[in-house]
Amino acid sequence: MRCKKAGKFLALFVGGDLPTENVRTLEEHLENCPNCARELESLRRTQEILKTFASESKPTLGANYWLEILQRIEALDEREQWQNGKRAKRQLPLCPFASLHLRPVVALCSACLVFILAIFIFFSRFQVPQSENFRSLRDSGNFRWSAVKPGAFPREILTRKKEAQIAISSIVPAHIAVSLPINFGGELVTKLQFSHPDFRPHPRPLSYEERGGGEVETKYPLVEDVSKLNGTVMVFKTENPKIDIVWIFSEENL
Amino acid sequence: MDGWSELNISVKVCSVCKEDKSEAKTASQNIETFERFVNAHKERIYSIAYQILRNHEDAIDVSQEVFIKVYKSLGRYNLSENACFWLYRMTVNASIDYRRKSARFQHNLIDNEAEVAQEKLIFFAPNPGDVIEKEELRSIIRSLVDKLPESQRIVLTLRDLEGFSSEEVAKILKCTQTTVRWHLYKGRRKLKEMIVKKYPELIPGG
Repeated sequence: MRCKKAGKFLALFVGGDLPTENVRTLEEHLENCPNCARELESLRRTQEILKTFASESKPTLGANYWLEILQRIEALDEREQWQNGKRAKRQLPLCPFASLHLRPVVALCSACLVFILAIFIFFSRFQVPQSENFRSLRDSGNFRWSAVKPGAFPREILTRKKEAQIAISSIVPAHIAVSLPINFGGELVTKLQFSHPDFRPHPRPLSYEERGGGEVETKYPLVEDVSKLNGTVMVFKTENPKIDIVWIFSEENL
Repeated sequence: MDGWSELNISVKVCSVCKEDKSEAKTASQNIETFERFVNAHKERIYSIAYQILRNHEDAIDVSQEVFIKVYKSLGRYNLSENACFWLYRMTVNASIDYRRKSARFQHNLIDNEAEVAQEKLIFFAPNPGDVIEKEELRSIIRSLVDKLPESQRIVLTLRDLEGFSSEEVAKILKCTQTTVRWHLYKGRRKLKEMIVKKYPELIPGG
C-alpha cells in the first residue's frame, strides 16, 4: 500500500469507520511507515479534541419543555380553526372562475394568447408584401430594373447615372457585399432592401465600414440557397439626388 | 476507536423507537401517549439540534418544532421501522434550515467568540503546550467545526459528536455509506489541518 492511499484510510480508521478488509493492510503499512504513523497520531489527537467538545454538558429539559409544546400545539389548533372559519366565509365566489379549479387554466390560456399576439406583431413588422412593393416601385417609374442571374456576379453596374458605381463584389454563398465610391455625387446609399417570401428583409446591414480608396461597403446576411433569391427585389435608395435602383432576380434567368 | 460504545448507543436508540412505534400510532387519540413519546425522544432530538445549531434557545425551538410536525403528521403517516431515522432526518433538516435563516447573526457571533478565544489563548496560556482550559478549547473547536462545509459538518456532527454509526448516518441523511465515509474523510482531514495551522500547540508533532 502506498502512503497516498493509506492517507485516505487513516481519517476513517481513526474513528473506526474503515471497512474491515482494509484495516489489515493499513495496519501492515503503518508498521513500516513512520510518516503515516505520525499522521495517525495527529488525527487521533483531533478526535480526542472533538470528544471533549462533544462531552459538553447539556441542560436537562424539564417539564416546561412539554408544556411549551402543548401550548404551541393548542395555539396551532386555534389558528387552524380560525383559518378554517375564515376560509368557509370566503367561499362565496367572486367571479365564475374563482371557486372552480379553472383559475390556472384561464391564466395559462391568456398567457398563451398574449404570447401568440406578440409573435404575430413582431413578425408582421418585417413582412413586406413582395409583389405589391415591386409593382408600386415599377409603376412609379422612378427607377430602372433589370433581371440578373445571381451566379454571374460580379455584375455590371445598374444605375441611373453612369458615374454611380455600384457593384456586387461577391455573392452566394457569401455575404452580399455592395461597394460604392464614396464620391458618388456626394450621396451615400441610405437604404438597401431585400424582399422575398422566403428571405426576410433585413433593415440594417451587418456591417457598414469605410474602406480604403473612398469606398463604402455594406454587408448583408448570408444567402445559402441561390434558388431562394428568385423573385428577390433589391432596392437601393440614395437621398440626394433621389434615385431608386432596383435589381430583381427573375425566374427565367436562374 | 469507540466503535462499540457507539454501537451500544445506536442499539439503545433503535429499541426506544421500536417501543415508541405503537405509542405514536395511538397518539392521535391520546395526548398523554404523545407526551410519553416526546419525553422518550426529547433529549436526543434536542441534542442533535444543539450540535448543529450550538445554541440552547434555538435548539429548544427547533426540537419543539420537530415534535409539533410529528404531531401534525400523526394521522397521515404510517410510521414504519425507519421511524427513528425519519425523526432524526426531520431534526437535521429543520436545524439546517434554521441555521441558514439566521446565518448572518450566527456568523458574527461565532467570529467574535473565536477572536476572544484566540486572545485568551495568547494572553492566558504562557506555555500553550501545557493545559488549555476546556471551555476555551470548546470555543476554538466550535469555530473551526463551523468553518467546515455544511455536508461535512453535518456528517461529522452526527458521527463524531452525536455518536451514530456511519450506517445510521447514511440512513438518517438518506445517502450511501460511501458518501458518509467520503464526507468523514474530508471533514476530519480538514479539521486536523485547520487545528495544525491555527493552533499547532494543540497537536504536538502535527
